[in-house]
Amino acid sequence: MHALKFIWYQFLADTRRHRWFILGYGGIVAVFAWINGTSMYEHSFDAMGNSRIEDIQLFHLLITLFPAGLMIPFLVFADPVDAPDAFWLTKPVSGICMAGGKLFWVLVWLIGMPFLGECVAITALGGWDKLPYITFDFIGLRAMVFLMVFALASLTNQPSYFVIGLIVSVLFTGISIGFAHGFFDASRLPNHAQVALTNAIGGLMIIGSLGVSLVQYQWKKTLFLGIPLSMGLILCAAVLDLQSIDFSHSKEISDESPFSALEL
Amino acid sequence: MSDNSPVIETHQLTRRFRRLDAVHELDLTVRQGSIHAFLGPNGAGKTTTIRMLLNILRPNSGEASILGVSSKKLGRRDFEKIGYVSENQQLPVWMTVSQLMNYLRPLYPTWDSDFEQKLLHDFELPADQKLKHLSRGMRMKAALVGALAFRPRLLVLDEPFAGLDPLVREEFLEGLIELTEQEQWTIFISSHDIDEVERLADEVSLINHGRLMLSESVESLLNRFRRISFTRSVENGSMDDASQDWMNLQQSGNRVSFVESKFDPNETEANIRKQFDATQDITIEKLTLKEIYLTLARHLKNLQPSTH
Repeated sequence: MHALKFIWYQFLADTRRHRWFILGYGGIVAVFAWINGTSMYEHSFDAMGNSRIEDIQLFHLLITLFPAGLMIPFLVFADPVDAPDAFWLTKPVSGICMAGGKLFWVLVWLIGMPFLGECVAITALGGWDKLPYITFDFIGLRAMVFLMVFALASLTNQPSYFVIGLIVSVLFTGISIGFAHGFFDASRLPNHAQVALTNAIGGLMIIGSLGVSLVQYQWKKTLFLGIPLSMGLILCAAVLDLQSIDFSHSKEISDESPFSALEL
Repeated sequence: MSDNSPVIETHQLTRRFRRLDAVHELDLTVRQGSIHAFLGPNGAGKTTTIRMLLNILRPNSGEASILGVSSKKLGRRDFEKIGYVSENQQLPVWMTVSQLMNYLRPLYPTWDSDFEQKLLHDFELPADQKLKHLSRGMRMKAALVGALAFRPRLLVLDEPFAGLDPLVREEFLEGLIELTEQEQWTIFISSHDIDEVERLADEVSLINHGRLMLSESVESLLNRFRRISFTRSVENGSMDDASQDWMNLQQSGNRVSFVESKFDPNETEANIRKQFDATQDITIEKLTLKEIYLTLARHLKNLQPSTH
């Protein structure tokens, strides 16, 4: 079977398998698209009379990111990279195509579908001219987070190791960020340099995670590559000083954007 | 790959798990068109060998080739010719039987849809049932249909009878025998269930503690092993002159019994009479494959008591 055909084929198979998740997730996306599109939250205030826009938008971000991030290990472990009993390992399927099918699934359902909801809401509010800015941030952030989770899942190969890997990664990244903060304060950089640095690091993380995932599937082995590559990924993350770099372009568009916090 | 070249060939294939030699310097050859039984008790190294053959596990040393390709380089094109069914294989149980077939069909250029339908019918598989709702035996049948419908050049079966109840096992085996007679496939079947495989196989390899005990045709094996017993004129006389080929030698009073591993219908009895004076009541019995296996296993255990 041709490679692209198989990618599509695997995408369909995974879509059929995880159809209930897609329906549920699509429901969440639709609800938030409707809330955002009608801008009803703009009239929501807390007890002190402050607008609750940012609370709601943070909630939106978490509720769309968290289930999607949680879904990725399930997607990867359904056809494990390195398991003697995995069904696909003894079938005429190339590892790259299998990874391609699953990454395409992530792109369509976990990034494309929420983005579509976002586009609908923004267009409803008449902010369609802001779409190019939002596209970059929206897709970039999700691609980075989801690809890192995908790479970690393909490196760890089973749920228990994934959880351990996630905890270790978060701890190691936090410690590394603390150290990096002592040596380098990105907030002193001019705005355009911060943006360029953020983009460079984000791009590096996306390419690195993508590379790790593809290599894992192609080699169908987790033992040799896992540790050095995951350490490399974590070190890349360490450079990303979250305290000093605002991982968005919201400074450039926040005043005009219909709902700036969504552009995190 | 020529028609006469072996379908599977290993040379000094070794796999260690920490200090344990799961497979030790295995030299194995499987001829094209043969049904080769790979027998051994649980933990003998059968599954590890198969995983190395299919590039699921890497050997620590040695080499293996399948259909003329190094096992380490087995790729998509090679798996189009290899059917594999294992008791441990994780099937996509969320699929129905027909969805499984739909998933597999486009992967194999040689998939025969008519043959698939025939197999589904013969195995009485419900097309609309999800695999997770099927019994273990039915799931194994579904996996077997998926591994047969593209008419593989090599079919690898790893403990296909494990966990099946006797009736399903019988159906499974009869189906397999019928198909192999029709299709002339090369089948490599691992099992610890020697009785079942004896009906199917024309070549056999016995493995124990990761070491190959023997590998030859079933016919030759059955011909050269005999249980022999005879009565001596003296009770508990010396057996120092016993042949090296005699296994499980036992003496009770003046009755001696053993298993001859190089039986010759013209010479064995004459040799016994020549070696031991006044021997009487010589009886010679054929052994089943299982009895031969047990004899060899006991023999090796006696020879190497401290190996494992």
